[in-house]
Amino acid sequence: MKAFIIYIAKWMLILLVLALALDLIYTTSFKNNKARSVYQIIRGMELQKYDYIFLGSSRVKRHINHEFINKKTGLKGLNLGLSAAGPNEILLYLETFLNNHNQVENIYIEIGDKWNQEYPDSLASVYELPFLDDAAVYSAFKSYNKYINYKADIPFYRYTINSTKIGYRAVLANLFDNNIEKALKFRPYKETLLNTKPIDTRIKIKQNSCIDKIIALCKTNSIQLVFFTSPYLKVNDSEYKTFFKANLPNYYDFSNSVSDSTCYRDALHLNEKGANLFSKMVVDSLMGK
Amino acid sequence: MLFLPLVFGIYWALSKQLRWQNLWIFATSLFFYGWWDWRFLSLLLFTMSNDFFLGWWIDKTESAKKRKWLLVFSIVSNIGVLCIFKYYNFFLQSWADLWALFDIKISFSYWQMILPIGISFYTFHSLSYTIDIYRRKLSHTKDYIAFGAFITFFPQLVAGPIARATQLLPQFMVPKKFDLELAKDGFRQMLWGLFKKVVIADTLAMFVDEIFSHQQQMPGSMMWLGSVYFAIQVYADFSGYSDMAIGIAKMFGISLMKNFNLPFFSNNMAEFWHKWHISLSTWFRDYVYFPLGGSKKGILKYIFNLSVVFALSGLWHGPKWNYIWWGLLNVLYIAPVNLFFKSNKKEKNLEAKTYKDIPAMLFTFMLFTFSVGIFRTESTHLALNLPSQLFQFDSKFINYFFDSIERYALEGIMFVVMLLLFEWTNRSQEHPMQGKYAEWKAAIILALILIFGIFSDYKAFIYFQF
Repeated sequence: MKAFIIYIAKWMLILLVLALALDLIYTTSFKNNKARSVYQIIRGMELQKYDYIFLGSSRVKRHINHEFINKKTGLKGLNLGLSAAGPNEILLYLETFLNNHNQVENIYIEIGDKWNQEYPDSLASVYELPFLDDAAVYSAFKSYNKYINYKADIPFYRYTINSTKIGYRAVLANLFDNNIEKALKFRPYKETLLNTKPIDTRIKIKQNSCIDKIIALCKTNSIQLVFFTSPYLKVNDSEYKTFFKANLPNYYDFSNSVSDSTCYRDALHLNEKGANLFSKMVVDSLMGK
Repeated sequence: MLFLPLVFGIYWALSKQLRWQNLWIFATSLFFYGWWDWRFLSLLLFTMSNDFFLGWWIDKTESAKKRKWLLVFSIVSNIGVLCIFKYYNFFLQSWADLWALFDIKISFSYWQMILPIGISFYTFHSLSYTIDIYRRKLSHTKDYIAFGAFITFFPQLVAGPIARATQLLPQFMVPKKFDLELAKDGFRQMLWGLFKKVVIADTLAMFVDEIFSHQQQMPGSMMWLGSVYFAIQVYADFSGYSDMAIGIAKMFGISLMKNFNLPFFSNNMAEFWHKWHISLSTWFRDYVYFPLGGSKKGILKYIFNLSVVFALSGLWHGPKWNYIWWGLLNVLYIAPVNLFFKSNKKEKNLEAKTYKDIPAMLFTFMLFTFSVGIFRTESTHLALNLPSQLFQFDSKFINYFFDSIERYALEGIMFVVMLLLFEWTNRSQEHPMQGKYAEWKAAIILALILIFGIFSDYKAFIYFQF
């Protein structure tokens, strides 16, 4: 029996060595890539100067055609939207952007059904896990995720439990896909109306600490901050508008601005036709051109 | 995480007190089962106690007629419980559908019921005890604790292999001595089973689910790919569980029967069924097929008997007509082999197989793939559509592979090849983690589990639902 316990202990040691080695390889791979996720792009960005950036979820990523806006306005700007990103991710991106001594004059943040989400989004934040030893990332998780120490301290754990997103496919992609321009290219949805299930836009009427910090950061850095809500096809509640109008600086509501259902992929997302239409609206009303 | 080391440690600490050791296994197995759903512990205990008592009664009864009635009671009570919990709605719905053909409407209310996990396994497991006592192959045991340990032994309780009383019960009657080499082998086999489950089965499951949930929009090529993946998935999932169960049992000094013997290296479907889910197919062979007369009463009777066995086998998997069609399709595969190609009946030893056998193996695999595709479809309507869909090729093929999310489906081929290569090159051994370089192979498997394993999207073992 003693021999078997030693045998199992030997396997535990092999497991530990393998996990440490794989953790090192994976983390190095993510740190050496600057184009695979929005956080990687911002993390690798230094001393850049922009006229504007858009931050938010897929309702920014898939809705705001920044290439069109740049061409139309002559401004230099970026769309840094990430699917499922909420206030926690937006704050992290903004902090990282500014900590790397980048400058921007205007920041446009899309806000809507994710208002109450102060904690890291389970989908969007996965791409930040390889960087848990960045102080900003760790603190973005720490207050809301009691398991974060396991993820940070148990070697390779964060990669195994998120293998479909930051597993071997992503590590291989890190090797071959390091083109920031390509990563930042606007990619709208092509499909038309896959489903019309109304979006749950009910929010709890209370302040969001991440948004408060974002407002404070922009004020300190003299950045013009604008909040807006992208178009929805169908929602189950409109109370959020009143709250946003009363509590957010420079709030623009585009919720009902696109009513043609052929402009939508689903009730939450515009398709290419809708995104182009909406981007024109953004230039005309939001950017004042 | 803690359950296995704790049960293992205390089990061997009690190795000099057989009764306490069995009690420990019995109690922890009940805890293990109750952890899934404690409400069904009573059902498990009922089945077990019923057969314990009936086994004793059958054994001590001399009258052949009375023995037979007692056996019938055991079968009816076991299968009755199974029917109520698993097939009640299915039988009523099928009955109503039958009358609907004659425009007679029968209304009934569905019984909302949760299927007790592992019920099909432990029912058959327990039935083998009373049947073997009836056949005088086994004497009853007076030791309820040992009998409880035999029925509930946790590695095989919820998904087999379906142990036979003649093979497993005697192992709980004798003291066991810790065998280091056996335990090491069991540990490596468990690792191999885990690899098959979390690397092969769960990766392929992502693609299979995607393909079959959009069956109506999929071109034939994708349905072939989905069916091939599902064939490998269901094998890796179920044989993976069996390997883990057998491996863990070895660590406890218990030998469970082999459940899979590299079925994808079979030259025909008859051979395939000798190597696939062996514990179930031999159960049906010994307790249904042989008593019906087997193949000794003419061709028609043989085909009838085979059909009964495969229809029951299909039904055993679940209350769906797809499963029954799937079972009956296998009769079409097997009967001609056994009736007209008698030379094929002599199975080649796995070690003697060479690359020249590959065409026959591939053909067998395609037959299985076709049948298992039907098994996987989500309704009878879609099952009936599948054959025509599989032979309908169109230009969407290229788009699906390279222009959409399904392009990732191609990486599944890497996993299929990985599994088959491991099995082929180690076919002379009980499992690939044996023989020369066993420890090195296990270390590679551990690394592959860490790199390729799917831990983010937990999928229960497919056979848990049966």
